[in-house]
Amino acid sequence: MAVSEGHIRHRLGSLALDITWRVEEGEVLVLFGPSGAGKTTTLRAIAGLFKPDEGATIVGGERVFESSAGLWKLPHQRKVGYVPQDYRLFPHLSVWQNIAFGLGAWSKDDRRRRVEELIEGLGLRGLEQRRSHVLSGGQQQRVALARALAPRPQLLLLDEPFAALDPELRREVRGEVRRYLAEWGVPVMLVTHDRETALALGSDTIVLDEGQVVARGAPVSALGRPPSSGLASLLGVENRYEGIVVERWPILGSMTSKVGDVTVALPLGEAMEGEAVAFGVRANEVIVAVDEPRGLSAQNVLPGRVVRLDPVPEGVLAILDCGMPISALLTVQSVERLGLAPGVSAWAVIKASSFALMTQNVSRALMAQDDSRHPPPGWPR
Amino acid sequence: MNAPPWSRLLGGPVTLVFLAFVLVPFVALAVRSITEGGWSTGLGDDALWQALRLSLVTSAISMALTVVLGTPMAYWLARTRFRGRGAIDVLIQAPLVLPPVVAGLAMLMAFGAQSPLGQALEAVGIHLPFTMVAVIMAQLFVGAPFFLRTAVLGFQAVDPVYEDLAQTLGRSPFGAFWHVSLPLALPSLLGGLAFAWARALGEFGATIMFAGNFPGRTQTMPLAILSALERDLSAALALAVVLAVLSFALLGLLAWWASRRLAWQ
Repeated sequence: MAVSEGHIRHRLGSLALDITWRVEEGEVLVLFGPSGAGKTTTLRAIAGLFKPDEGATIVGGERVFESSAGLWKLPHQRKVGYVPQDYRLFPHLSVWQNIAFGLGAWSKDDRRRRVEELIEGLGLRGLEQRRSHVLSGGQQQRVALARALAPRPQLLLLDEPFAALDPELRREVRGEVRRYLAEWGVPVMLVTHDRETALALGSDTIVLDEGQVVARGAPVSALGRPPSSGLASLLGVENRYEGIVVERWPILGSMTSKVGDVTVALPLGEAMEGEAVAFGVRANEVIVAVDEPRGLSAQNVLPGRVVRLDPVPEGVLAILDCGMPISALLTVQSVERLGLAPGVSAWAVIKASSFALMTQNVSRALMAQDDSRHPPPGWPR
Repeated sequence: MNAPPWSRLLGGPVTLVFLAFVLVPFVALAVRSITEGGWSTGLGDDALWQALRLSLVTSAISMALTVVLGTPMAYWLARTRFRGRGAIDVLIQAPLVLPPVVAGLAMLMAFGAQSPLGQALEAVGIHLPFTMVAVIMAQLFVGAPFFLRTAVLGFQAVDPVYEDLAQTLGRSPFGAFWHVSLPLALPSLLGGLAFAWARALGEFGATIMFAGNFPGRTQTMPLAILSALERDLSAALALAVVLAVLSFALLGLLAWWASRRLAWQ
């Protein structure tokens, strides 16, 4: 299955959408962000349901939109599967007819075989003749998936696939869907504002806010591991920096950047040597040591001293001066055990992968960013 | 949900009185049609069968036109917003408030031999007033708005997401309309059609003004009842019962079909 990729720019009222994306076979690209960030607009543009001001889109290796060439293919001319929020099964059709809906051009035998295959594969046996309103949320979702997958799309678009399910069911269904997606191997673009969903399903993440890409990369690094959900917490990353890229190591998936006089190791982003890069790390990702640590796998071991200790609901926020300010979230016990106090020497330890890159404006070509992707462990390739 | 006591005390009795008010004339009509013994003269009269056939043929044609032209029109109106849209809505529904006699007179003034339009049509050999075409035009004028109104509402109630989905599933924009929007709006269309058809079958005022009352040519059932009344009350009663039963049958049939389509909702 070929690559799908594109870039889209669009002005819609106060929203200035600007996004570049790329997704390959077996990958799940998560579009993450608060409502109104332009996530659904992006999906709709890729499906051909709405025409952006400018950009280009390739679905499964086939060019379907190229504003400069005046190319615009309608949704039915694109090989895209779409599962909208709330699934929207056709209420006038049975489960079987819903799944077969996209197979109008197939021969009767092929159609029956394909529908049966999906009914079997998605565990819908026995529900064939039911109407959508008698199905449970989880069943509706599987039918919607089957319907979208039936015509063998080159790209599957899922809009908030679990928002309609209650939290308990969500966890269960998410596991199922993850299995199915891995099984079918179709590249997926998934929109969500739920951090857990992004972390559980994503092999790559784009964080959108007000139409702009503010972070991208593997879900763990793009989203961090903050307790609450929503972009507010991502923007609430305590440590935010701007630096200049010194050296890039595409093979290692990392790069170094200078913030003032301090050199920091970061995950590889698309910024080139000498270009500016914005990045951040959550305070609970920072480890503090009072003796110089040695033999660590973490690439960033930054010497400095404690400037201030702020009590916060989660514990104590230790603010260190390591040539750049670094906040570390510690427990009260740790602060006492280490004897931390203003003026005490300390080392901040941060893994390169803990840093999230936050791109201000990703109008730059991001097509060359494949080398920056690292799927989470255990993700089926 | 329970109606509050005051509403039960007021609404209940009033409903009973109104039902009696509606039913008593029907019963009286049916009873008198039998006691007057006009069935043999009524049913034996060629004028009845001519009028019945004319009513069915003209209303079938006017309703076919209403559905074939009104459906795309209603769909377009349901899916577009533009300046002046409100004026279109008002104009479409104007025939609903216009007394049919006035509508018929207005059509006569527009298409009659005295009018510039009528003369232009006359010049190319088209003569409209007092023809079967005029009967159909009168029925269209008074019946179509009933269909259009409910059809627009019906299409507006279909979430466009279903059409989007149909398109991503390989259907052209028209295919999405045909396979999704149309079946989903069908109960509304059938409901609107039932009222429009009943209205067309009963059309009297506009027909008599614009098409006249010529047996075999423009004399529909309502006009035949009037003509019969002038000669023989018993025959008029028989005709009236036939027309009432026919209207109810049509309305009932379409309502039943619509409710079957609604069963999944």
